[in-house]
Amino acid sequence: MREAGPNGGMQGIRNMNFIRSLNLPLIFRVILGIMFIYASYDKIADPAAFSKNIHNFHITPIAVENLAALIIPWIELIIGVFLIFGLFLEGTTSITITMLIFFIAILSQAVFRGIDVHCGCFKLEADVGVTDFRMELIKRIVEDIIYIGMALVVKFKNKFTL
Amino acid sequence: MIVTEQKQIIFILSLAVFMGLLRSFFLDDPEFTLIKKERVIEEVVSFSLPDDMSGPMMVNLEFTKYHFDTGSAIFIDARDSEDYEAGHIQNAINIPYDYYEEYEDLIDGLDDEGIYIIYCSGEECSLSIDLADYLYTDKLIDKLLIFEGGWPQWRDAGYP
Repeated sequence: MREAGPNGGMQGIRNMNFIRSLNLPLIFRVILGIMFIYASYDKIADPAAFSKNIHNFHITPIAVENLAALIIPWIELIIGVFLIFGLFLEGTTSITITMLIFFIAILSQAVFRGIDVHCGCFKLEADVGVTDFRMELIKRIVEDIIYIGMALVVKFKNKFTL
Repeated sequence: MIVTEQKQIIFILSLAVFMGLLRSFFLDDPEFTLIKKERVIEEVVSFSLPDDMSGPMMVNLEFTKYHFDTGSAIFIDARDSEDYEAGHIQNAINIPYDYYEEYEDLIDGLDDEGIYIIYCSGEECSLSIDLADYLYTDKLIDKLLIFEGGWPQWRDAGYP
């Protein structure tokens, strides 16, 4: 087995220095901020369509669907802007993490219940396209888990100092 | 001034509620109300249509089968083409609501005076209602019926 020589060690230190030189919390803040602002845009423009999407998940009483469709996109936009500009970061990151956990929960229940969120209909294992829409939802869940990781780095940045 | 995390959260959420409510005042959609009302669609109670239909109406399996057998209605499948190809009511045409813009030629060719029975994937599916709304409002087709049980109920009944 080949042992790491002095050059290998130097390379490792250089890599560590490079990672330290990257301001990861700042990079993650900007990525999360852009993601939330981008996600909010269509929903703010067309709350009726977003209300229909909420309905398709079958998790909220019908009465509150429009209110949720009006308010949730603004939370996304505000935390997106605050993340980018570093405003109220403690509160912003807490809301970010809570929202992402909430998104994962509703996406997961859709996967488990077999809900096709495009039409709001329940599908059976044997139905066509059931694997495709499940994979689409699972992809979104994985994305949200990555975003939670980023948000945790931003929130606990002092503990993540390399 | 040190603002606690709790106060920051309250501020952000309050701002979002305020902006959301403000946004609702600028919405140009009379049907969009703060408290959403459950939509009630009237049901056709006999095998014949009421003279004055004020919007799309619900029909059941028996009504649908009757008009299938008599050939008096045109069936529209509002699901995606993949679902349609996997199984549909015999002779139904496919107009997926999610992509209806791509089917404008087909929609424009529909007879305004015809009777249309629209269906999708059953009670939880809203595609048939959405398509019926679009055809009623934008294409001025009057005789639109929604078969709520949709393809699952039709298939389970063993109908073609």
